[in-house]
Amino acid sequence: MASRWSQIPDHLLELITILLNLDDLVRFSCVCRPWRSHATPLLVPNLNLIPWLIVPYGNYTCKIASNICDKTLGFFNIQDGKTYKIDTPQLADRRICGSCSGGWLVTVHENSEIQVYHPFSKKVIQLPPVTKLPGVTGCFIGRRNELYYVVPNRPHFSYRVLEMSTTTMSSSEVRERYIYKAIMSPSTGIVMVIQGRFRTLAVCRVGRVKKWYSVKGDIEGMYNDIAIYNREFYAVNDFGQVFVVSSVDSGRPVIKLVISGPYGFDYCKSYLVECKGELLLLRRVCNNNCVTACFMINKLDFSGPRWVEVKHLNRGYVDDVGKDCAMFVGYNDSFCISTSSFTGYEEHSVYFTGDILKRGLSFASELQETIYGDLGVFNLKNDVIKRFFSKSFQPSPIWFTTNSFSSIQFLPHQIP
Amino acid sequence: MKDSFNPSIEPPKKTVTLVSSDGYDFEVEEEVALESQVIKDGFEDKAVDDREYLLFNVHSDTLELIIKYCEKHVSSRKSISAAAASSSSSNGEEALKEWDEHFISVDTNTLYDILMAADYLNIKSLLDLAIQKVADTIHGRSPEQIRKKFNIENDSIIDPWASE
Repeated sequence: MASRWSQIPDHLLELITILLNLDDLVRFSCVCRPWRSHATPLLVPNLNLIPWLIVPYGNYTCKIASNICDKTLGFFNIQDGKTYKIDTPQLADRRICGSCSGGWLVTVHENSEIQVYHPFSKKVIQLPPVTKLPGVTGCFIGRRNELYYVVPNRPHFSYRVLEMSTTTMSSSEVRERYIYKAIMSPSTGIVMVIQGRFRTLAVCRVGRVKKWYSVKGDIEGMYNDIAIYNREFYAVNDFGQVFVVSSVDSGRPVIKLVISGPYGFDYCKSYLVECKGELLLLRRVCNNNCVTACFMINKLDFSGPRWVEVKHLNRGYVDDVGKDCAMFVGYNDSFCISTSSFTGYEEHSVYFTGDILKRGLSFASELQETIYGDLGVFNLKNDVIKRFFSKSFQPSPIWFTTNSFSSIQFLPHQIP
Repeated sequence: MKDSFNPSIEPPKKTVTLVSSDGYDFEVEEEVALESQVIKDGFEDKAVDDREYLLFNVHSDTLELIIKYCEKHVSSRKSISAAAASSSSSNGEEALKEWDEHFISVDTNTLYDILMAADYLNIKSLLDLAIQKVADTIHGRSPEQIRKKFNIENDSIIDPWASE
């Protein structure tokens, strides 16, 4: 009598599972053996390992010039081309500004809250709010009841010579742009953000401290991307210069230049990607309409240090880097997968989402639609771009994986 | 009888007898019993004086609930179509939905009995209602919470969220 629910006939189980979301189905399959054997064929193989693309679910679109989430998200699976529904009431009205290794999303709310959230387990962790970011001096309610934040008007690295100067920013603008990108190291719980109008770096640790620490150094702004490589935080700025951050956990993090940009580096959106134990610098080259045309890749040889060209517009492609490998870049913490372990992904490829950062503070809103629709896969061998959707989405799609790919063993890297 | 010639007066209601698994007789109106597809199938073939159904899979407690559900749905359908005919606005469907929701808000043991009976008697709308309730109950809960709710023993399956 006790477990009669577990003995419920198959045709009824089928009716029930049709109604379940993907994440409910995962938990459903863990309840008991009969339920598991029924649910397993319905689950996506390697659910917890494959890369997903988070897209709006159904017909949801948020207001123009906004990237806030709805109470449900769609998880698009490239392998079967299907979008699975995941309920995420905790994400309502928040913008996702980071998608980190292990499946943690970093979100920011107009009311200043910054959270780390896992869409499968639904766990929410609070981080210090926007008002605790370096240089943010406070907030106030405007005449029409809107919330404004008081933010630095000059890069904080210029404080030494100039007195503090501030300006105001509306709360929605802060939510949309103030944090450009966030990444987290799941092993240490340290979160790093590119933040503010001058894209400086700040760090905090999950659960321990109540404030964000600014990262100091010779060059403190205009960072373009951040990544974790060999358990250290790396950053690249608008000029292609690559930095390493040390003493992250001490409360006085310091940034040091590792190498200046590759020869002939012109401004473009860059990404740092760890691939088979190497640190790569990817550059997204766009056409005149701000749509991705190509990716260029350099490998950082730490023994120089020097740049090794992997993929150039005209000078070809050293193909051992992309062998058995697909890279995923965008607002997410960049990652690579071994394509021989997962079917349905192209090797020698870069899977990208639209997150183009215009030089300066913001991009023109009329470009937003183009930018958010700019997602697809670029093949490094034949320079072909395949796109997954014909329409653009808002909020902007973002890559997601619950895997920590740095722990995946790739085949030994063969040097020609 | 004079009355029987008057079309505005309905003929006396025909009834059928449903017998529960524990031997109780339930006399219900024909149209209420016909909510069950199983009873409806082959209903005409049965002799008029032999309209007794032995429901060996449905306990009297559950049968009472099932009859209550069917009676409500038959009467609501009538009032909804009457309202539609007189083109007066009616929130009958909404009220029925609310009633359904209240009806199905039962403990999981009763829910199981209703689910099984609805499946056995093939009452589509009730089956959908019960299935939806089960899915809603599972929704957002951890495996351990689901087990507790449905009184399912842990058969030592691997649970990735066991630590929570």
